[in-house]
Amino acid sequence: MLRIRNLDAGYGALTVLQGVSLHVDAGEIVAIIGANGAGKSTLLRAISGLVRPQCGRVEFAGRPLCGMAAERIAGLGCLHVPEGRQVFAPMTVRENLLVGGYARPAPRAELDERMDRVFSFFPRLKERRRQTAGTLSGGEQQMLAIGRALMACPSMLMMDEPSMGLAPIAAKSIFEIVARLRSGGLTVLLIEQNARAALRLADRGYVLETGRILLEGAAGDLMANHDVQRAYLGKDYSRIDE
Amino acid sequence: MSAFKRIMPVLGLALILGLAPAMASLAGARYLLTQMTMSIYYALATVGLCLLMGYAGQISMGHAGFMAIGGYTSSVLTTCNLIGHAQMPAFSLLERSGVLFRTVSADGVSPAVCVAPWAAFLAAIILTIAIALLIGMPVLRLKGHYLAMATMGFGIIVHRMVIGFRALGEADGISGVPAFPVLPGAAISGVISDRLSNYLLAAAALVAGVWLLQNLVHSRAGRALRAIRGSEEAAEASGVDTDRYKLMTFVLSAVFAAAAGSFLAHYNGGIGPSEAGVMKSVRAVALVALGGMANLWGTLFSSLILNFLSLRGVFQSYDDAVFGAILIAAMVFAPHGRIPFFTANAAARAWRRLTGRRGRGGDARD
Ligand SMILES: Nc1ncnc2c1ncn2[C@@H]1O[C@H](COP(=O)(O)OP(=O)(O)OP(=O)(O)O)[C@@H](O)[C@H]1O
Ligand SMILES: [Mg+2]
Repeated sequence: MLRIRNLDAGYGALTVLQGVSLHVDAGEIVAIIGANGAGKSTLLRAISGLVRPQCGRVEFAGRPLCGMAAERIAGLGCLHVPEGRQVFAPMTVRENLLVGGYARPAPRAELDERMDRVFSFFPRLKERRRQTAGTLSGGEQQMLAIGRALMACPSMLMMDEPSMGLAPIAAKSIFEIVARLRSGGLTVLLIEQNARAALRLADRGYVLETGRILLEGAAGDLMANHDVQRAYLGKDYSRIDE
Repeated sequence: MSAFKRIMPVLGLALILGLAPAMASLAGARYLLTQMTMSIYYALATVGLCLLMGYAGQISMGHAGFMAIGGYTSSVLTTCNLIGHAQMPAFSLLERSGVLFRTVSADGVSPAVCVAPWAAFLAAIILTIAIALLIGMPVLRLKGHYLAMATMGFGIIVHRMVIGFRALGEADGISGVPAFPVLPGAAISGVISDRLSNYLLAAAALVAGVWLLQNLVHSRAGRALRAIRGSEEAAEASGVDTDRYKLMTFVLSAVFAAAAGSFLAHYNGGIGPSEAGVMKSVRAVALVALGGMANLWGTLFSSLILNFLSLRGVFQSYDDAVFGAILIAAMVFAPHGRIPFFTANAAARAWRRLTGRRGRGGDARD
């Protein structure tokens, strides 16, 4: 579904990603783990067109994405749920979802239908549809950010640290949602600081360090890997299992 | 928001604006109508900037430049004498279609041919759209204070050109701008006996402008703008064509300014270079900030009231200083640009901030 070859990307003169290659097959959950500043968010931005790749190839569903505007990439069904949720705080839940539909314009009736689907997935959002997004709890905001992306009928979701800053119980329910989305046929590229939870959920994983892919493999193998355990699982171990 | 809930405040505005001259007459102060009319035109320009700053989150420090482009285009075209070109083949066609009209020149005797006010107005709007597109495309890539500086540069260029060009009257500006007949029996002009009808025309223009903006804000485009302001990155990732919406808003806000500038030139019977000054742009920004940024109504009333006071000379020679101070205060007290200035809540919040106490509910944004 997604195929990346030798991607370089960064900001202005700064190159953050160097020669990144990875792929995500249809129906997979692929996790990318890495320390702060490794370039995980930059990778998602480069795929979704928010930063322009400096060189390399990005292909989604067989189409090259490099140089395409972000809104067109979203229109192809490759949706980015940005880090820190970034809901439109002063707007209502409903309005947030409507904006989510902009990537694939449709008549009102169809948008309502899509919204009903999102609401059946997140009944909590339905209760709060008239509330402004800024007044939602962190977990609810994350649901809204995901729901907003679902409004564009994606075939692949790229989630940037969806559990960031959430209480353990809210984080757990977000991971359950990711699992449900996959069983509903979505492909997921998942970035997480919470490496253990991410690898448990994922089929495969990549370890990104200072802009390069250091390791890749089946999620179970990565979890068993000594270096990964020491660098990404060790300290977090007790906290994650709460 | 339902259409009904949306039209109520617009009707309220129409009512307030409609009652104001009656109250002025009762108080025996009909002479106030002149400044009331002028402040309405300034408010029309400011609400356009409110859309750009408050809803699209883009600052423009060159708003007066667009107002001047509107005012000067109307003024130049309606006063320049084209009689020397009467041999041109298109001339009689333009005259017959009403684009040109015969009048007398400033000396009161020699015949003159000028562009009709409606055609000049149209030309002003088209020119403004063209310039706004040309300026907006490169400039709107910039953010924050870079955008502020770039737009301010544009405003300074317009100001300098207005002062520097003979055709634009240099430091004297342009006078003798004719009346602009907009409705049968009603024209925008400075004729004293038409003061009330002129006030009502201005009020109608403002109500129409606000009605349009109010609808826009709640439309698909308006939702996109508010999303951009909420988070540009997330809006883009959601498939909002942020560049196009920002440019569209920039152009629309420029058109509001140009229309206001054109009307004001016809009302005053002329225009001078001070209309294009940088401080006029700062003033517009200050009024939007005071109004609470994304608050059409706050901007509207702060603009009506403060421009009126300023035109009455209440601030004396501290005029610019007052607006500068307002801008500073708005930035200090509402760095996020959301002071719901005209709500009781804001007073309570300001009190809490001053006394350092946190009341019930607190301030969610701090
Ligand atoms: N907008 C930007 N402009 C310039 N440099 C940036 C920008 N955003 C990120 N960077 C730099 O790029 C590098 C990678 O950042 P990135 O956000 O991709 O890391 P990350 O792996 O997502 O980290 P985190 O886990 O903290 O989210 C960092 O050194 C950061 O300072
Ligand atoms: Mg990140």
